[in-house]
Amino acid sequence: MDLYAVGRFLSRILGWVVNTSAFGAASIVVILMAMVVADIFGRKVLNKPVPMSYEVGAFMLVFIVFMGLAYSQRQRAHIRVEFLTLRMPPRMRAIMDLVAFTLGIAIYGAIFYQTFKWSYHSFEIGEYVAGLVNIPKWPSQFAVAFGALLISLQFLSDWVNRAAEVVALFRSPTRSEEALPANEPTGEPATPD
Amino acid sequence: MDDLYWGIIGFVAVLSLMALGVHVGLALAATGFIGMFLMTGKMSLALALFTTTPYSTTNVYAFAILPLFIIMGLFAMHAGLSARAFDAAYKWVGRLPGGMAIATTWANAMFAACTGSSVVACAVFTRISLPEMDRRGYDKAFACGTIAAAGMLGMLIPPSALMIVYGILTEQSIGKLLIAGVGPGILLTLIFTVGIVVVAARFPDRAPRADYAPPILERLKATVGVIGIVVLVVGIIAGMYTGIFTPTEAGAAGAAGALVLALLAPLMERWIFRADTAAAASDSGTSAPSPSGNAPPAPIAPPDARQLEQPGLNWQRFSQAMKEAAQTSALVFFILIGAMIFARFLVLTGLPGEFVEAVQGANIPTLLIMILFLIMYVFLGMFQDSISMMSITLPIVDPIITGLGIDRVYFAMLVIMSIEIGLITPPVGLNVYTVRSVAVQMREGEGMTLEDIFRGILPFFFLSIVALIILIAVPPISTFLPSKMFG
Repeated sequence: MDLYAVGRFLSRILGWVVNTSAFGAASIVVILMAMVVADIFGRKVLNKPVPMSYEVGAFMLVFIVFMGLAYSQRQRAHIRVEFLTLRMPPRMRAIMDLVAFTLGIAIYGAIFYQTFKWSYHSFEIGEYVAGLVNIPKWPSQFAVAFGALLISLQFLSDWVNRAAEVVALFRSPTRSEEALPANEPTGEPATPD
Repeated sequence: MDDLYWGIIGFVAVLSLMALGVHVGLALAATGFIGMFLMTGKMSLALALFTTTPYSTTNVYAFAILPLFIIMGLFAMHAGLSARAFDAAYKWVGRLPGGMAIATTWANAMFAACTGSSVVACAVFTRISLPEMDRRGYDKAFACGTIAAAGMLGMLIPPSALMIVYGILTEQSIGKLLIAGVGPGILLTLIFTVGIVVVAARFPDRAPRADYAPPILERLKATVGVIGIVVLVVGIIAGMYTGIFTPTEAGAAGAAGALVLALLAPLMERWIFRADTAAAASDSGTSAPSPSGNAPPAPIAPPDARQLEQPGLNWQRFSQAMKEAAQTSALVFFILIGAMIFARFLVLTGLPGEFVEAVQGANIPTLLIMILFLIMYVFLGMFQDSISMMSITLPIVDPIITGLGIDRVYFAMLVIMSIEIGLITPPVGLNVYTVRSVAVQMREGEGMTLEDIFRGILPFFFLSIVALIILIAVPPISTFLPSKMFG
């Protein structure tokens, strides 16, 4: 069986899930805006606020952030300091990338494991935010676990791609300067400075 | 005392990991986690950081302000605000020496009131103002310097992503910080204006005087183009100030208002500005200054029409804006989650408290400490982006400042001003990089180097230092508005 074909297939599936998740996050931004505007209007004009809007708004932010997390990594938007790495030789830089991705896999893998247990527990005991309507907590907690899993898989996928490049680099050191693509392949800098 | 060493080692670890190119959010989280484990010796305690921190950092209604203000800025961009603001500002101040540079600064101030991002402002105004200034014979370095410097306003005038992040990191009222930015923002605008007039009067070859004074009717017409956005901005700031809106609600109202303006923009364009565009179209060949002398320069619209997108909103732009809001929120909170994990570890080490005691014990004047911190921020701003810089330093700097009895809002303004100065300073002035990367893609900016722009920005660097000194000397500029604020 062709290992590369399997890898490409898995990576395409991951890409699809990551993009879909980002689309979900984007939709929730719209819903958040609509809900808060409705709440203002309801409170000031109709004297009828949207029930639980503060709690739901907070939950929505959790969804926006964690559903968009892996997409940001896929776009290479997460902020890194490249002052030194850009001056490193390509092999060194590739190895530093591998170190960074390894840390990403480890940390977000651990976050996934911890928050998954936590949200499952919360689901089992039926934790909720009390109010006019009782809202269960587990969906937003599960969103954290989902987002953490997705970004650690994205880090893993990036790790594998980079490792393949490193192998190629060490095999053909003469072409190394040309063979290595730039560190920032896609996306515009989205730093909000 | 042992614990203290852990704190210092922690800092060194974060900075080294970051220098090696580890994502800032990861460097902070990893250090916090490992530090917690080494200090307490309990894996369960360290892992507990991963359980609750990501959730508790994002599950806050007040923090939902971030995506909302981001989409407000993007909608305002699609409403064609920047070009209209520039047009209106130029019609009013075009007569002054350096009129076009002043118009760029003022339009930036207006744009800053809708968006919280210096980078966006720099990119947008390079496309709008650079061709215009070039057409009027401005020195390109000075023109690019003006644009990069005016971009600083984006972070001072509310809404500002930096203020929001500052508020989250130091657990103080985001609304107060946003309102506090008004004073320093106006101060910087005025200082830049005066500075431009002086430079233009002293070196007329850098910024030739236009002597352009359109009839009052034309000025008013241009003003109509920005009236919607002015009403919106004044509305949300006043709403926050009087307590009618919470900051998050102001974000949502602003986003919805900007959405409406963006949807109406094509109509506005057709109804109000049709005459302008038609007149301009017949005039579009003239790139050299006209020899007759007193003929007014061509209106703003035509030459950049090919570079500027038509204002308005379609499905593609709308979904793109939403995606960008989600992505930017994700990357900001990616760092903030790491910062919170790191901060919990820092609290355990007791480093901030020890530092305050040491300072007070040694009888070092607080003003000196404050200025040293500000110099540190200018310095860090030369290498790092603002959000990561604040995420690493504020968990320790803020308790120190509080411990020394310095007003936190006042200090926040000084920090943001210092960081912004770092953004226009070599070697890694983010604003300058942005201006250049956009400029070199344009005919007018071909062959511009970073050195050119840094040279052009030099006067603005000194002006910002002046502004910073005034802000330090006169605290009420920062604190008066928030102190009178409701709630």
